[in-house]
Amino acid sequence: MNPDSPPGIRGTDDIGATLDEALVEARRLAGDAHAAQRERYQSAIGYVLLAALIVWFLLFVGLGLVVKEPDLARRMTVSFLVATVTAIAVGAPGAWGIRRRARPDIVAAKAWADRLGEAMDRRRSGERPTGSVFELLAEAAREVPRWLYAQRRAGLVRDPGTWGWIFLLVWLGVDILIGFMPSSIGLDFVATILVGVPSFGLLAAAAVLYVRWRRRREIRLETEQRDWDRRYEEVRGRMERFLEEL
Amino acid sequence: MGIPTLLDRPDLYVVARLLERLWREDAPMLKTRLQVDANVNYDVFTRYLDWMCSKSLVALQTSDDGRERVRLTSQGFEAYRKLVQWINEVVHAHRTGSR
Repeated sequence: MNPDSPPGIRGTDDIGATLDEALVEARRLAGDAHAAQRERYQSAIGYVLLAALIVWFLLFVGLGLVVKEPDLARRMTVSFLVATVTAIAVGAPGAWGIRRRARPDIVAAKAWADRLGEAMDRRRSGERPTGSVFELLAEAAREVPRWLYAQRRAGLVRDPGTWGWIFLLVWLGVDILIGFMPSSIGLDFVATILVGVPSFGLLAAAAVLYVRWRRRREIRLETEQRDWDRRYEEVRGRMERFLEEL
Repeated sequence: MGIPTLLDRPDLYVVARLLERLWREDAPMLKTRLQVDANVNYDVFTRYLDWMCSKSLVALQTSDDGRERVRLTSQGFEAYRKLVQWINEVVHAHRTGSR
């Protein structure tokens, strides 16, 4: 205690404890959000790999049956190569797209968790913080709705109804395409249309369902973020008025 | 250099930064060191310091070596405590129902 300080100014110092409490909570929220986002990313990659595997299997079996090649080994080789190339062509862009979409959020949540964790460590060890803990918390507070949302939404797992329909529609669409298209090569134009339209219709319905689901999710996040920002500005206004009225 | 004008509307973050720095130090700080730590230019720092002195959040004192130091007053301490409590409430606000 410095002799120049007013007596008792740090005697009942609960500021440190309050800062620690806020840091712990913010760090927990950021960490949980990061874990949820990473888990969702890994699940999404898993689904893409599963889809690629199903495509590979269906193509391999389907082509093995329809390719008119008397030599079994040759037929198997052709089926294997076509199925593999197609599965990679389906899976690789899907996985790349998921990674491209998910990575910024994962990196941002991780960076926040690290910053808050570092501030906590510095306070615990008595090291000098690199910046203002108050400002760090004020900035972190703005991210809270995103972190909460990241924890709540887990895509497929959290909305099984919609995703069940999407899966069913894609499955049927692909099944019709794979099952009937090879045999329709010799068919006339009308028959090809009769096979193609329903399958593409099913795939289009799945796409529409997905786009709507995503839009709903985004609207919900935007609304929550707006509400949170409004409440945050109210509190900030209260703090500023408090300073002005001192 | 001209006489710095008093602030009409202080920036919450700058005030909190200065209060926090003094609170953390727990001892009067040299003005120049406080300015560097608060990461604001001299003009801004002087205006904030004047404003904070006028609100009795901080006080200036001259130490034995003749250099001016800034110390946190009990009002400054209370003000910083209130700001910290508010920010803590904001961080925990989701528990009281944001939906």
